[in-house]
Amino acid sequence: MTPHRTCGTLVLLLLSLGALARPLLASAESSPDSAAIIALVMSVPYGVPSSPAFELLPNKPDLVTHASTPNDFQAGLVSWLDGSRMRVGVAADTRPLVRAAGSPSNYRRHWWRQAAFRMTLAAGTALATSGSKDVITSFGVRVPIIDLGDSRADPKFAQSIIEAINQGLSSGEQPRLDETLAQTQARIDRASNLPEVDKIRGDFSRLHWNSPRVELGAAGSVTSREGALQGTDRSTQGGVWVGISGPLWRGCRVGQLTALGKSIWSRVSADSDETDRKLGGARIRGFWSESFTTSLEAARIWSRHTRDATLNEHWNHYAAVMEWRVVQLKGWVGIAYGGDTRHRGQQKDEVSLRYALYRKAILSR
Amino acid sequence: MGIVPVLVPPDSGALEVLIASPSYPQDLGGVLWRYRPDKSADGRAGSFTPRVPKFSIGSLVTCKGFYFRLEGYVVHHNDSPPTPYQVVVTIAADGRPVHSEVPEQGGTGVVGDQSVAFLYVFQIQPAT
Repeated sequence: MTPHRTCGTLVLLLLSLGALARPLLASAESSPDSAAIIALVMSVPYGVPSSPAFELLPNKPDLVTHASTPNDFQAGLVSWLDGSRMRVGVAADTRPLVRAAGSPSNYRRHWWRQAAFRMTLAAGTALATSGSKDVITSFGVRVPIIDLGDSRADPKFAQSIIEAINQGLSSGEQPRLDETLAQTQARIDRASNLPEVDKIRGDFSRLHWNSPRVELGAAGSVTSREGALQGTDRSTQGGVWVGISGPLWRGCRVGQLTALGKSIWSRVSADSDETDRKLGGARIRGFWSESFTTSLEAARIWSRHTRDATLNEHWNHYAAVMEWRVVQLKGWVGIAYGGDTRHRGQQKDEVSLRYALYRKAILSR
Repeated sequence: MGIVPVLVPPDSGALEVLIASPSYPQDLGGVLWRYRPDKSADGRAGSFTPRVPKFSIGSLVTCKGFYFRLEGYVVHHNDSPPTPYQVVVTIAADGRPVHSEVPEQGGTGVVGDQSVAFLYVFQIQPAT
């Protein structure tokens, strides 16, 4: 099947879906607010989180300290201790194998050096629940094993960017010999923001936004009574994520297929508590033109309770979204169909049709 | 601003300047400017790119007493968390390194979503 036929089939499929759903228009939300569509699109993140450790905390940390080396990270962890207790609300990340990559040519030659360099390690703490003094401490890693859209691995990208910046630096008068580093930084900033440089970065992004990627993530957490370091851990959590994405077909620059599998399990105290939640799903996004984009996604969620199997359940999540840019209205028209099927936390089937008019596109690459 | 004296054996021929990132996969670029012994501008000596990390700046005879200002930078790749870098500048005579060091000004650091400058100013002098 040619790309154009595939694209056409997809559009027809979506239009058919819209036609089938037309009777639902009467009951659809007529609010122009796009929040419902955003919530539908964002409810299942199809990718390994940038910091898996923070997924096991009740709230994402506001401030993350970036440690440039594993030694800095380790040294920073010491400051998290307040006597024999963990401080609350601290977070840090680093690249633990940053020295494994070697020089740029070594990096480009070996995929495993690239994976090691891209690996990130993060840790954070948070209060288990508001009002409680129990502290959750979480650690996690993310490993982008394969990333064919990695600009660092592409020698042509570096060469062309540097040629363009050098061109900018060389134009104009020769700097004085005694110009400071700050003045040099300002000249380099100006040269780095030239339209030619922006164009090279933009072209690279457009060519590689949907390049094949395989990512893994893993995290673990422990809850301790009032943050005590030893002997009082009350519960633990663990999670793994696997994400794969790539173009819809070889050479395709307009569409992306993403698949995610994730599993989060918990050691719990109450019989009614969930012990394991798994999610498997896939999403297809298409940016068919500057004014027409689509997204189709489907996921299944399994909830397990090992202490009381009668509570086990699973449900589905669907979403189909189309966006058109209407020049006359200076905005976008979005139509979305989807939601979650019935489950314990949601007593009725909430799969429904929504539409809205908004200024900025919701779907992005 | 510190000017590094680079001592070159008197019988040396061609002098070359090389920049490298041996420990981290960071792409380096830059422009080398030349100045007369009275510190007045004398034009561009050359440009560094990944394909051209070194080039000749002449011989001791033509460079003696001249100053060179290397305006270099580490290209950013939108790293989050930011990644470390370390730049090594080497001056070689007849292919043999006679001076090699990490620039004091911006030669080490981290790069995130903005390219980072480093600066290295040196003067070619004959070793006695």
